[in-house]
Amino acid sequence: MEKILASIQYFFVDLVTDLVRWPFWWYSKGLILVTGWIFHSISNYSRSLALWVWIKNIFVPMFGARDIQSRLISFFVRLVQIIARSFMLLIFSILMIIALAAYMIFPVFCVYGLINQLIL
Amino acid sequence: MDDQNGKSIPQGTPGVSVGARFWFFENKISGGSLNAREAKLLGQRLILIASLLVTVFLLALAIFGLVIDYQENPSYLFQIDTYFTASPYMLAMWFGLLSISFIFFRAFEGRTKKKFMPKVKPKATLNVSYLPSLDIVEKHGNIGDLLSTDAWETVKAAYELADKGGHSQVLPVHLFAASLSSTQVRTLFMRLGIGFDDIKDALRRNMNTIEKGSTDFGTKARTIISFAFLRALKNDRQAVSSIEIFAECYAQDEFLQELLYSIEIEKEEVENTIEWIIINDRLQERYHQFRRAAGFKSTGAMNKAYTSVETPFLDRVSEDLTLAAVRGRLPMLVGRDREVEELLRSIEGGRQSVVLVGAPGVGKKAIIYGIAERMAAERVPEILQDKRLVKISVPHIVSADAGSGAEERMLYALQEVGRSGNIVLIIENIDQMIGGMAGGVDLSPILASELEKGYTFVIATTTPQGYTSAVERSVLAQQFTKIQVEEPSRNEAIHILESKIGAIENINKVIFSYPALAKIVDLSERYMHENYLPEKAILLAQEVGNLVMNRGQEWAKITEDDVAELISQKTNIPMTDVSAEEGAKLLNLESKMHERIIGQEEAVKAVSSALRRARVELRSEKRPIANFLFLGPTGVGKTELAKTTAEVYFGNEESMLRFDMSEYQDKSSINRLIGMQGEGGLLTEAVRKNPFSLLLLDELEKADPDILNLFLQVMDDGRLTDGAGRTIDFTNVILIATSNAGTQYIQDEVEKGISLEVIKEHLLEEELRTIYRPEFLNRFDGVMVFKPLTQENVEAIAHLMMQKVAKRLEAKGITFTANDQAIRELAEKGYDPKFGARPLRRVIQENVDNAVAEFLLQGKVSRRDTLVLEPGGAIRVEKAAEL
Repeated sequence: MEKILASIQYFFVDLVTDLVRWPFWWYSKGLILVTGWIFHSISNYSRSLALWVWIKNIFVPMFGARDIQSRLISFFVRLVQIIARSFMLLIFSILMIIALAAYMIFPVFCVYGLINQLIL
Repeated sequence: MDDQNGKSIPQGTPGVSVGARFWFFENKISGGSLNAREAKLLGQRLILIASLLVTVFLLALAIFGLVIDYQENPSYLFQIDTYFTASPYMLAMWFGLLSISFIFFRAFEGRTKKKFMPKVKPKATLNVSYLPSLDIVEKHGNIGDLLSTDAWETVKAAYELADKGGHSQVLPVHLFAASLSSTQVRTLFMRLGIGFDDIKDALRRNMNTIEKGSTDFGTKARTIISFAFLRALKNDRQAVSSIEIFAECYAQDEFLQELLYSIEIEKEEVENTIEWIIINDRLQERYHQFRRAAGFKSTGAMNKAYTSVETPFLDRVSEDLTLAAVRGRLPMLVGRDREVEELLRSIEGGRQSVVLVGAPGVGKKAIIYGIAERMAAERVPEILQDKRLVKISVPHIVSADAGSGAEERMLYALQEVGRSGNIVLIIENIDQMIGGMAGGVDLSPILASELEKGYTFVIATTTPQGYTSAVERSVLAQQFTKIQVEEPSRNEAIHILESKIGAIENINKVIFSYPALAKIVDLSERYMHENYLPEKAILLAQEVGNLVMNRGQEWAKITEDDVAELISQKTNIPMTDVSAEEGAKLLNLESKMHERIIGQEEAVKAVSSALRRARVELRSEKRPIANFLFLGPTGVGKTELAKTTAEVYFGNEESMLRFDMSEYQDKSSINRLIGMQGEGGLLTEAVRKNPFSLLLLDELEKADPDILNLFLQVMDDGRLTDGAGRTIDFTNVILIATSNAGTQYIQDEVEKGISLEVIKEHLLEEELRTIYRPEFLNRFDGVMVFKPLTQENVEAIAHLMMQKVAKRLEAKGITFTANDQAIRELAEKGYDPKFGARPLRRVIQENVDNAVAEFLLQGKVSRRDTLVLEPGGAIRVEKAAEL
């Protein structure tokens, strides 16, 4: 019984402190956490695109074909690949940054909606 | 301050210094603080549940409102103004959305607060130390933050246990008892095959002696927590869990060690079982990490840079190991860090090919799979990154087209490797492709010349024999760095086996206990000398799993006895614990042997004692089970006793390898016994194929003295090297040599009535000196002198022989009887002091067998009739009553 009472007490005390800490956490540690996630997923995506490997090998012929023509074709194919992959990475990064922005705006937006409702 | 055992307890705060930070258990532990901690956790859980409920309710309300208000005009739902118009439902929506972000905060705040185990520099020496005052350290960390949930449960339960008993201190014994209810420690007890009931009473008695007072979670308990933290650090664990607390209670407390020792649990067993539980945890952890990392590896033949070339021919004769690793088909490597590091270093250092040299089954393939796994996760030096590990099958290359054109095919495959540029070749048993081993073709020059060009390198494997006989002498030797792969030690083998047991358990639906595991390793080490650890242990574990599964009970527990039973089946050697029945049988071995052997009490007694010693494992494991020399005239029962011994110990008298040493009288006959290069020896092959046998060397005195030296080594070391360089194990044979040397002397002296003891002494010191060297005679566990048979002995033997005749006739449905007088007459006819019982056999043949044969052929006797041997040697037929 004592324990349940203590739990209820903790429930209210913690709820109040949490409500106070929540906005501060959101824009400090929470922001760092989410930013970390976003960077991580961008870097994972770029790793699976292997963009850097393509850039490094731009002058290396593909499929081991080493004559001049193949080298030329290979260079252009690689160029196209690099451009396409860069573009994909860019789009993905933009989406991720939008997500980050959404994270930052979300509470403000909700509060705005709420205040809006209360005033009307 | 002294503890119960009178040992002084160190003063101060126990903890571990990692770098500049001092880690100690900071939390105050008291009834109040533990309850508060629990209440707080409960309160926080309530907050999360409440906010979830509120959110769901608000959002449901909002959706309900939107549906009600706009079901006529759903197009309004796409206008942003809709959500900003005044309405209680919209108020609920905004509130609900806001509380989603509150839940997000509640759920992920833990992540930003989570503490991680400190990083330890390699080779840093860590220890538990005691600080008199915490002021002298600048930075400190709280071990309490790193305790897992179940570790906290243990701490709490330990405190409550001490508190309930009114004990003044929380002691290791409390933490120990408390840890027993955690899942990990329960598993540990299950593996060890023990239960709480086994130690309950002793634990309670010990706790009754603890000093009373108000309970304090003091230095002793905190020391255990610090040690548990240290153990977790050393094992690279992610948190301190109850298994570490259990382990350190046991390691630090003498009473607990005694306690488990009293129920036959040794320290090493506990440590290895703890390791088992940690290995399982780590395998899971590693698997998840690996799956994440392997996701980035390209799975086709093409590398990420698209520089490689298709390799259609190579693909037909090879297997892509990196691909298999990415798909999770390869087993995980346990241990072997030294070999893997050495391998990577030599590849990285000089782009040099390597050859792993190790006996079959020691884990060369496992190391290669380990490399493939690392390549799949790209945790390898740059030279191996974005590459494929391809295992080429030499038999495929050689066998196509009946072997012709093998060189071309090899060259073609290698050129594909060269063109593709992203392949590292694996060649297993490289010795097979050298010097015509591969169907008469030597592929090594081609490989050597291609490797010299430097476009690729190879990881090969071979056995030590293969290395010395083929690789070392071939052109390849310069191209390869040799890496020795040793057989793992007993404990390493147990750990490797522990990592494999999970799969075996799941396939066969059985549970292995730790003692069974240790027994598997020990018995395979002792009785399977032809194979190597860990493979033989893994194969044996699979067999035991299968054996127990076939008994029909699901999830049955495998014990030591199951393992012993399997080995007994394989070897015919009794190995399970001696049952009461068998114990009685063993104690009466003499009378059992006398059912076949007449007289010769001393010899029978000596052999029986040796067999008893062997059965209860009191013999040396480095020598044959027993070495005996039987001396005595011919026909007195020497060979018969050897046969009886084989039957008693190995289950049947056919488990006997008999060598007539009169056939090995010159020096050249050594080669016949031990063989030469390319040809097995008669003795060594026989023992290699039947390692569990009785080895009978008849007429040893006739053998060449050099051959005696061979047996000197056998008797001393229990092994012999054959002509091909293989070591043959003799530790499971019973060696019995018979000799007629000194026969005349024995007969004369026995006639004079001299005691056997005196005769034996004189024989050893005088008569045999000329034939055997003293050190040779000393190697025998027993030299038994067989007495010449007396008239009474021969009569008893005649009885035995008549029983045999009766048995043979019984198969034909004919009863045979002979009265004592008739048998005595036979014995008198067959008695000759010079030849023992041998003439008796002839007499019985002539007088009984021949007559019976005639009766049978003449049809005078048929089924159900009785033959009676009467005094005077006549045989009478008693016709059975007509039916």
